[in-house]
Amino acid sequence: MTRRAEIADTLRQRLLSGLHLGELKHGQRLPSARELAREMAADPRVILTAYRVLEQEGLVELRPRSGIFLLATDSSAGGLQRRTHDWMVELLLGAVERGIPAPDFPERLRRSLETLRLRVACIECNVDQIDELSHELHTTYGFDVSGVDVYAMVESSRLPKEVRRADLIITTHFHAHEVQPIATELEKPLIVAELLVDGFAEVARRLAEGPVYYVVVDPRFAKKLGKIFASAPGSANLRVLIQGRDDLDQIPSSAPVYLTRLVRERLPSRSPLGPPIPPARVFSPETSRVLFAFILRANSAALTEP
Amino acid sequence: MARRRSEITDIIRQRMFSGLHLGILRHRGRLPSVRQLARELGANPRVILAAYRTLEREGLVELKPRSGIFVAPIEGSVADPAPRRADWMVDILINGMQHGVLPRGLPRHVAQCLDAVDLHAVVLECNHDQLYSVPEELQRDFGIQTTGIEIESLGSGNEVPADLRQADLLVTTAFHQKAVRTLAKRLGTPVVVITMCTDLFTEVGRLLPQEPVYFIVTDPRFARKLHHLFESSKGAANLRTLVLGSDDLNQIPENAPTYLTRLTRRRLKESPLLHRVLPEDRVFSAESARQILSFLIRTNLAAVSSNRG
Repeated sequence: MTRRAEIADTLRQRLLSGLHLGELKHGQRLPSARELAREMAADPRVILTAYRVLEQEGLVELRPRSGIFLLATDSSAGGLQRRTHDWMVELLLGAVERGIPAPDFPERLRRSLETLRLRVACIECNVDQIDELSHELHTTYGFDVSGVDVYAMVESSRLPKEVRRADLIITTHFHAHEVQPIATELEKPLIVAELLVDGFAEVARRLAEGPVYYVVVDPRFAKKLGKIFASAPGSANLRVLIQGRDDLDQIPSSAPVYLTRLVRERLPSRSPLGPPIPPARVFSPETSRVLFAFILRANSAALTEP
Repeated sequence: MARRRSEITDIIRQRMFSGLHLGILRHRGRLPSVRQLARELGANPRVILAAYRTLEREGLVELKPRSGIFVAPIEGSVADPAPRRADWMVDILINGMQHGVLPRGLPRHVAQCLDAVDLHAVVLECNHDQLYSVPEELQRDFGIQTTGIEIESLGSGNEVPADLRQADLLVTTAFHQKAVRTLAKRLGTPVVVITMCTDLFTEVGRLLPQEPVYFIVTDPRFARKLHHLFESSKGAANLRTLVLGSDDLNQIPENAPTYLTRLTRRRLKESPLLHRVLPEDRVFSAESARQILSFLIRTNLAAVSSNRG
């Protein structure tokens, strides 16, 4: 997939999410290519071409000298409704072919997702990442999530009850080797989550062009970022700032900035760095599949129990 | 020498850390060979190998003889045996995310495409068997309230029954499509012309040249329709239709292929014949199901968006 197609996909999904969740309204003004470029740590030209793709799909409108807008309902309804129609026809045809009457499908789906409240222990080494992963695991996947600090856990003599009581343990590749023996000992399923790497890869690309700012809450994440980008060309261009300690006004308005979710949440609501549209997904498509498969399997086991 | 080895181990560890985060490396991905790395870092190949061995003990890499050096897989993870198995429900959820609908919102989203409006359909057919099976399926599989009307009862007069005038959709089969389309045009009502039992009829067409095939129906008019349907098939004389209540069902030989219409099945209740044949789940062809769903969803989406606007 080209970078433009990737950005267009991410943008489309974020805009549609915003519409469905009521965070965005038809006819509303959207962030400019430049604003979004900072937030997504991408080249403004790429963002603009992605917006053009969405314009052709009838989702947004680019008005010269005025801005970018989500199309008003009446004009965009056609395109959006056709997409929804085609999707729903295929989905429900699949249901009917599997012997599930269409009217029963929504309830069947709901029970496949919500029969159990599944508890997840999300283990990472800094509050920024714990927050980012936990938030996504809760809002998108519906888990009850407890964040666990991997170092605190390894050092304490007794495992925290959040881990002992979890139905599932989730960590990332870098703590897999610390967490795996614990999962094995407790006989708990473990999912080693793969994160969408576009963000990091994009930052690495932009480092070669000039300074890139990263604002975080936890100094341990600042250190980890330094390590992540240590071997990228232009790694000296990485400026990691810690919210509450460093002065964020020093960030030049033209420089790309990346904020962790926790930073965004703590920013004053009218900050120029604030979140204009809902954030993108966190997990890779493979990990999404694994998480959904886990949820469906656990629920279907609970449903078929006598 | 010892210091040099630990330095090199650190360099490799650091690179793997970066590479995995930047998406350059993946688990089970191949790492540079000892020779390559020795050249690049200007180190003795034996030092490089020793560094890789250290990382192997830490569980970070895997040295496979005659094959290469790889990022270690994570054992015991449920994520590991790549769940490529096409799980229909998983696909649905992933698709939903691509459309911007989160899983917990999806059931409501789907429901909205089905029950925003109460739809009423009228099935126009010429026999009781189909006037039973088609409405039953429209109601059960698609949630559409349906009335069956005998097409002959309409006559040629201008009086149109209320059910028909108020219907949101007319449904019929190819036999009556011309008459129903004319009527629909007059009423301004959409029509779906369905195809039925395409798999079953294909199977019957395959069996007829070889042996007699039995159909038990309730309405003699459906029996005639069946004969008409298979008229030009090979072995058409092998088609045996029996009408429930007037023909002797005991004449059907033990192992002869036998089909029962839905109405017959319902009326027979406890006959041993019911156990001889497997009921087919649906009578609509996939194409017809698609047309009905398309109508249903289009109408609901239009209602939802006009309510909002």
